[in-house]
Amino acid sequence: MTRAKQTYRLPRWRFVVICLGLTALAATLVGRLILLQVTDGGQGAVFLREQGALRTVRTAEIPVYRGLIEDRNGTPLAVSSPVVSLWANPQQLKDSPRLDDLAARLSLDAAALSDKLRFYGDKQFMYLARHQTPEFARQVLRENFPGVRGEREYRRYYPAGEVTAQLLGLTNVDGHGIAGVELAFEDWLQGVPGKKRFIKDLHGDAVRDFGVIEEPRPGKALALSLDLRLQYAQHRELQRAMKETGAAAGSAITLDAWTGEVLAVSNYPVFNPNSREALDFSGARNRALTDAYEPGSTIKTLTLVAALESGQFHIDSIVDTTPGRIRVGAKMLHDPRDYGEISVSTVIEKSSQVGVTKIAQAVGHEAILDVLYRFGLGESTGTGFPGERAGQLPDLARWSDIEKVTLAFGYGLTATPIQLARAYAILANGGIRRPLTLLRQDPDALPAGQQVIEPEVARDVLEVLDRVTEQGGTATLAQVPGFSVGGKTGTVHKVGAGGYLDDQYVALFVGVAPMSAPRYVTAILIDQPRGDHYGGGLAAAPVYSRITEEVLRIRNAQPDQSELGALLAASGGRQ
Amino acid sequence: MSQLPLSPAATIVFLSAGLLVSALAVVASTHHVREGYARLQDLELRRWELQEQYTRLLLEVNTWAAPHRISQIASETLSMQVPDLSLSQVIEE
Repeated sequence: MTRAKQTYRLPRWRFVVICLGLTALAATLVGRLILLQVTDGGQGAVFLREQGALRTVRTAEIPVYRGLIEDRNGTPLAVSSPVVSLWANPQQLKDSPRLDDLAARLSLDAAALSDKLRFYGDKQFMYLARHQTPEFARQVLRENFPGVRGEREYRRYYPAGEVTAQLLGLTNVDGHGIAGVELAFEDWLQGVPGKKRFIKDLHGDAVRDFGVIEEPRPGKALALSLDLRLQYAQHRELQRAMKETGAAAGSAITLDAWTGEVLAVSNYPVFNPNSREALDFSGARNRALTDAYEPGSTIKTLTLVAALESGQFHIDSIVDTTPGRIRVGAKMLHDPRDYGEISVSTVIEKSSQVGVTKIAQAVGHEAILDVLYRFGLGESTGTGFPGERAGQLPDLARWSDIEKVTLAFGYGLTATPIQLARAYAILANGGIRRPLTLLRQDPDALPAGQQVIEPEVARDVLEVLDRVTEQGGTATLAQVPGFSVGGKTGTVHKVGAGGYLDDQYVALFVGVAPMSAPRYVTAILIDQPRGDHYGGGLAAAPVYSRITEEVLRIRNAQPDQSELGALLAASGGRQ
Repeated sequence: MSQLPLSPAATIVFLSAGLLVSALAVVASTHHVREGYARLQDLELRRWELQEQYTRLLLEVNTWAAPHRISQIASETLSMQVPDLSLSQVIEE
């Protein structure tokens, strides 16, 4: 019993060991906690925070719209409109029983959809339908198909459709410019998408925003030099001319010579930029800027410049064109009939081959070539339009007699319609050459021009051009009621396999109006007009007349001819 | 330490109260942020919808006001025509 009563005394060391053991365990836990929560090294706090963020924090792109393109009066020509692209997570969607339902909703083939889902089965992203209208996308998303989400995007619409299609160009499905102005001014129009960070839950919904990391910067608006009303009128008249002449292609371009602005430019064939599905790229080319042709007789105007500059001729000097033909090297050049002794002015009015040949031989091809260079042929016009061609001037080591002369007729060189229009704009602008532009200019801050010919020479040449459209000239059909206009026709044989083709032509007309204050230059090119009316005076001049009538009306030019002009003069300009 | 204006016990009570208040303030501001964020999302959605509407209306206006439509209505429905030059008068500024 004494043994039972005797209290067992724990050895002190055991107590100490237990205490130390428990303390060590606690210290280990605390140490580990400190290691995880406080220190940075190894798998410490920073690492863990990053891992946590990787699983919850998402960076999302904030879509930005592409800049608006508008005409000189602020009418929108290209607008970015919000759309929704539907996408799916194939891993969540591929085994859904509602697949057929979804396919029907999206008007997709059910078998094709499930094939596609199987193909992307191990991926997490697949587009179902891009660029859907927001209403439709919302309806589909409301039905909560597994793994189906929407992504906001912008789509480009062109309110004027085919009328401005070739100039504006196109964007691809991701909103980047791939042609025309959209490509040329890509950096300006394209915004920079913003970035924001947020925590998302299991359903992919944002629950907490960490704020914007990068501010979205929407694209900037671009004001073109184009006048949409004028563009419509020009487009309409060109399409009408194409129908009437049965031509294969055509271009028209109108410039403001004083500012170097392109006011309108249209081409045939055309395409509809709003229907990506039925896109036909043959109509996508802006031929007025990208296609170089032999300019033919329209160059005789520049030969006249060289003749006047040489000092050997003035516009009333007499040139003997008898007997209506002239031999150059092995080739005989003919006039339609023997014009006899005529003035230099009449040589241009009648477009006499013999007369121009004599002038060209007197002036020499170097002087003519020099004028062509100064008028910007063989050189880009400065619009920056993608694919713009500069044409070519002959660069020969040895010139044969006939080559020296045909240069004066506009053969053996190539130029685009916009280059021809620019050359005539220099004449209209008193001999000052300005870079051309597709953007609206501030009339008080124009880029400096370059005086390339004497103003007196330009004035004399314009006077001759004025006579070309008057009775007896080659382009009476270019006349515009109420206004005096001037210009020059051109009829060029097309080049095919084996040289010039006898029965295929390019008809040209470049004109300036109104002559009392020359400002608007329009170049017309009609490629392969059919039938008897193939010449520049018959096929192209009437188109010039109709377009210029609209130009002068829309731009509010003051009539300077006919009864009205006379009336105005008689009344001292006041009614 | 002797400069403390309050006794140690009072200091502890004071600091504890401060702690409680700031803890509640954190809760309140977090709630505020949530609410604000929800509102921001609503507004962003609204902005998106308004932009949708704006571009649609812009396109609509331009479709109705297309020059070829105007000239068609002017000439066909309203029997308008460009006045002949003999009917025009030029007024100088």
